[in-house]
Amino acid sequence: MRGISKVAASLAIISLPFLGITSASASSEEPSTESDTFQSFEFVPASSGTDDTARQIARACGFFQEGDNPHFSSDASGQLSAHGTWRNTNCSATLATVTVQLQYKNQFGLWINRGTQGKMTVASGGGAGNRATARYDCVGNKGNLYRSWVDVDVVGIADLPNRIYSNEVARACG
Amino acid sequence: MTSVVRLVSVVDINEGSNPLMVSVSVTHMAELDNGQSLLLLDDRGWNSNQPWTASDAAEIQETARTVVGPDEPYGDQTIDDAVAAYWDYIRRILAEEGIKTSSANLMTIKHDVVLSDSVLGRLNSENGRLG
Repeated sequence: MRGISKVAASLAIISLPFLGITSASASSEEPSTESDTFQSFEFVPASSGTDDTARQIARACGFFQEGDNPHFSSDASGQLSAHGTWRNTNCSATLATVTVQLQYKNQFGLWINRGTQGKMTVASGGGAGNRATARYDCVGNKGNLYRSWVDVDVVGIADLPNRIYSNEVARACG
Repeated sequence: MTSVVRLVSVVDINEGSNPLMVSVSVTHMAELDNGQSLLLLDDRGWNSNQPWTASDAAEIQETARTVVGPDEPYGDQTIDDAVAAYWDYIRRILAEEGIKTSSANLMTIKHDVVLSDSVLGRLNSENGRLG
């Protein structure tokens, strides 16, 4: 029963872009105008393939993306850190390449990439050693708003380039 | 001498987040033998496009343990380095509050994850179960 609801939910999520419930900017340096309600979704149209192809992909493989809040690393480096992972619901593949990127909001309200992007091929489920990590040495910046985005590409499956965003959090680095 | 008897992580719903999707904050604390609690970490939490209908209490508790735990190794660090750095970080937070302990001792202390009423309510209302 639970498995059925999980699959249904995940397919519904992945299908949302095709139902027109998307409005995110494609560039990380454009202002975010999304409401909180759909902040988790960012759909960039695929560079190849038709809508039919994309619908077939969405029906074929469902998964969730997950990103933790930008936080100070516990290794005393003073760096900000964020992690990304995924949860498989019905994909035949067992691995996915997870990308995570930290961003800060500048004085114009634009989200700007900062630090080192994390990219790692990991199994589903998260947990220590199973996450991609982004880092940013934010010493000198005081009280900025930060967030991270996470993109998951399931290995061997032409999935969708949609991202989720972490919560926006204020971090005083200086 | 005051000592730590338990580590407690409290998971709560992020205010203003999409009510359909899992989005939570986690506060990590040390419970002392005098009944007081000390805040260790308050900058943790996560956001997902996973609906509450597809989640359960056990999964949220497991993720909470990860997000309040050691960071992934970075640069030249090994896993052991990252884990050691994390426990030393926690030890130093406690030391600043006058609680003296060792990293080795902290690693043996019981760690509970508590879901707030709002999280439990969300799981109940969405799933009719607590997992």
